[in-house]
Amino acid sequence: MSTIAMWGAPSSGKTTFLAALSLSLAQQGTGWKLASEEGDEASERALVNMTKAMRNREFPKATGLLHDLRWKLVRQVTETSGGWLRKKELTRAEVLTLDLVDSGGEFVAADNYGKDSQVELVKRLQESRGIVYMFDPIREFELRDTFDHTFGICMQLLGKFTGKPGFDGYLPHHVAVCVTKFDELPVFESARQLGLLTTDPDDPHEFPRVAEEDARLLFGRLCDANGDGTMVRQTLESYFRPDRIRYFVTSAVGFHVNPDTGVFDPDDPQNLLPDPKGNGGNRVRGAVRPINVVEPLLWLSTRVPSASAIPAPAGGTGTQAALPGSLPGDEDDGTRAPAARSSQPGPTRLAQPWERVQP
Amino acid sequence: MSTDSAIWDGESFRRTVAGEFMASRARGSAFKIVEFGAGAITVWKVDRDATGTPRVRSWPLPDVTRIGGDFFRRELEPLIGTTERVLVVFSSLGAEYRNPREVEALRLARPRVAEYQCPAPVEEQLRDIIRDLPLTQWYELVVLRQMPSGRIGLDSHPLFPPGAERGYAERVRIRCAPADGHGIVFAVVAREEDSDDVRPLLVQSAVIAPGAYEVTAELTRPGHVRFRGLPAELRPDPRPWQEIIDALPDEVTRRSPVHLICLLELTGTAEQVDRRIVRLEALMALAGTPDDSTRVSLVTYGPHGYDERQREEPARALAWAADPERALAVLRSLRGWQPPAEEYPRAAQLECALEEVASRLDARDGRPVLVAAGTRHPHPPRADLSTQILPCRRRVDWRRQLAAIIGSPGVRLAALVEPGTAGEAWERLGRDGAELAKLVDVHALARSLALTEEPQPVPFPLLA
Repeated sequence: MSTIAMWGAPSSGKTTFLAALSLSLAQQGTGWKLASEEGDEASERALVNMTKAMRNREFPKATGLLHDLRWKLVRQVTETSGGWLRKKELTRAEVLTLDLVDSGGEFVAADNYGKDSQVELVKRLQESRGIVYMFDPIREFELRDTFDHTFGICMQLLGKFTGKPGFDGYLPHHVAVCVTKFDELPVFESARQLGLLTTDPDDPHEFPRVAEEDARLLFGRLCDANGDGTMVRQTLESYFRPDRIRYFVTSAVGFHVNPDTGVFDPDDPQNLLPDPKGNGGNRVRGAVRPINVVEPLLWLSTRVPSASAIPAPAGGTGTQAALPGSLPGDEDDGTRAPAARSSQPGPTRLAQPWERVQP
Repeated sequence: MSTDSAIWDGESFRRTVAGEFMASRARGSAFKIVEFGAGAITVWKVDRDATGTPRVRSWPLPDVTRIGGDFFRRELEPLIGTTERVLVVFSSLGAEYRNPREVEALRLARPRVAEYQCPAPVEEQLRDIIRDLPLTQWYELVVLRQMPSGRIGLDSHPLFPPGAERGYAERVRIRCAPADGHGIVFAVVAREEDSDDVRPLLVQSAVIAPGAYEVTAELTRPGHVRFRGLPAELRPDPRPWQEIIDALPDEVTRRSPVHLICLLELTGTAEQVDRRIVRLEALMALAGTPDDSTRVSLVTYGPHGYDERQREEPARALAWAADPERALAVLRSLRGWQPPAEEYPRAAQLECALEEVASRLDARDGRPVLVAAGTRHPHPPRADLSTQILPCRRRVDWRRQLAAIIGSPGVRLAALVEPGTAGEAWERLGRDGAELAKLVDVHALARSLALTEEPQPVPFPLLA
């Protein structure tokens, strides 16, 4: 069975992203829910601990070892079939498998080239068909090491496919590029100054978002802030097919909500507090309301051939066939099951840059 | 009246003398007494001086038994001179001493001289008589009045009217300003009714602490006034009156009242906070002396709290425009402050403290001197990309508040900081003096802020 791998530099937010996933599913009310496989205690324990930490406004401990965590996304779908005289409603369960490989970041470090840990990572990526690529603009601004983490892995990974039949010069993966830490001021201000902020009219908290069509632009500008950063985008778009890359601007902790108004306040957006223990870390200030944590996975689930369906126990006969395993050149040819999409309506692009909301 | 028809008794003498005093109100109108006492002859001249104060001078004559010849012409007659009124007193003598040769000669020279037999010496009787005499002129206290222009003028405040007798008292409320080494001069002058001319009667002085006093002036006898209610005893001033007047400045440039405003940041370690308190205590103590018009304020502040686990103490004016002693007591009560278990570590409510000050400033409290003791950045009014410090929960803008404070005339700003303190806020707060709290010379800082400006000496009491 194919996997979706999470890949990114150390402290790029992968563990926090995972912890926010379960909270986000519950908050969005999409109908999707997470489940662990029977007998997979490690995944179950990890999910519980991560979620608990986030609910306590603490950051989950970063993963230090390469390990597999596997969950399933499950929801009930009702479909109508038949003509106008013989309509039938079929209820079935839709299941997506998320085999997430959280490598812990340091295993992708450039100076780990050739080491067993990096070889293992390349192997996992080779076996996956979807990649969640975590880009931390704060880290990139401070350390400028994203290219180092990216280029070597891409090169090694491409080398695994060059001899395979049908190789067209690109890696076959679908990549959800997640620009993380949207809630932090430098990223938020960059998006604001570029006029990329939008708001969803149905969002009661009026949180800002960056539409998917603008996320690539923001990613590019954030990369362009440093000379090497530009090469990150170019590397990704040269190793992976550009039409198989989608960009998302995400935040695992979300923005702060003004307790007096109940809505987002652009004058006070930060949802992080310095950790009073003085260890240089942070803790979450208010309630966790992740942004764009589910959407990358849902998009990938429509692209990678790992979805399987379990027939509903009663009330319907519809089934969903298992999709064939993927090979280089996968496209959506229309035979795939309907994608599980976010139930959130699309954002409305503001004609003007974000305006400060007066309380 | 005695058995001899020409000799009157002591009571008559007293009445006659009192009458002579009342009749001799003009200077130079004197009367004389020739006293034949026990073993001595004394000539007394009694008159009033320019202030109307009874004046007595005496000339004891040599022992007549040792002088031969014509004693009257040689010794007595020159002293009596042409004085019209002469009284003869036999004091402490029996009748057998009433007719010595000298008395006979005096009777021949002055057939109309009145004679009195008194049981007590003339000196003692004159003292008693003069003590009870009523005043013939106004007694007034020399004071200073300050005009709105700052110039001062010499004036007098009435104490006792003509006719006032021993025991007459008058209350006066005065204010003593800082003076030189001679202290404050309490000068009583005499003024005749319907005249503006005054003459110094009594000039005393003492070093008296600046302040307001309610003084009682009491007439103890003509020419002498006692002042009660002063913290020091008055003594005769040895300087000539004109010298005292010449030392009076034309204009008293009084130091404008100072309003010392202390901002105390309650963050960091207990040791850091304690050090700030000690330094501010020293400044308050310096500002409280010697001018009692100084006012002191104390505003404390800590960081904002951003979740239920963080304590937030709002910026508070614990004392405002208060007496320095009271403000000091409030400040001292903060000793022993302990840091909370959790607080936002990167900023403090300096903006809210400045807002508290700006909202309360009043020029009538004095020239503001703002001294801030702390180290953290203020919370910005909105999210700040450069510092990423969480914004003030009330969106207070520290720049706007500081601008309002700086707009006060004559304001001075000083900062007592920790090593490593940086940022625009502390740079501007230390505009007129920025010192490390653990190294600051408080006296030098106070002088540079004009907290302890040397006042111009004012030699007379000011009428409060």
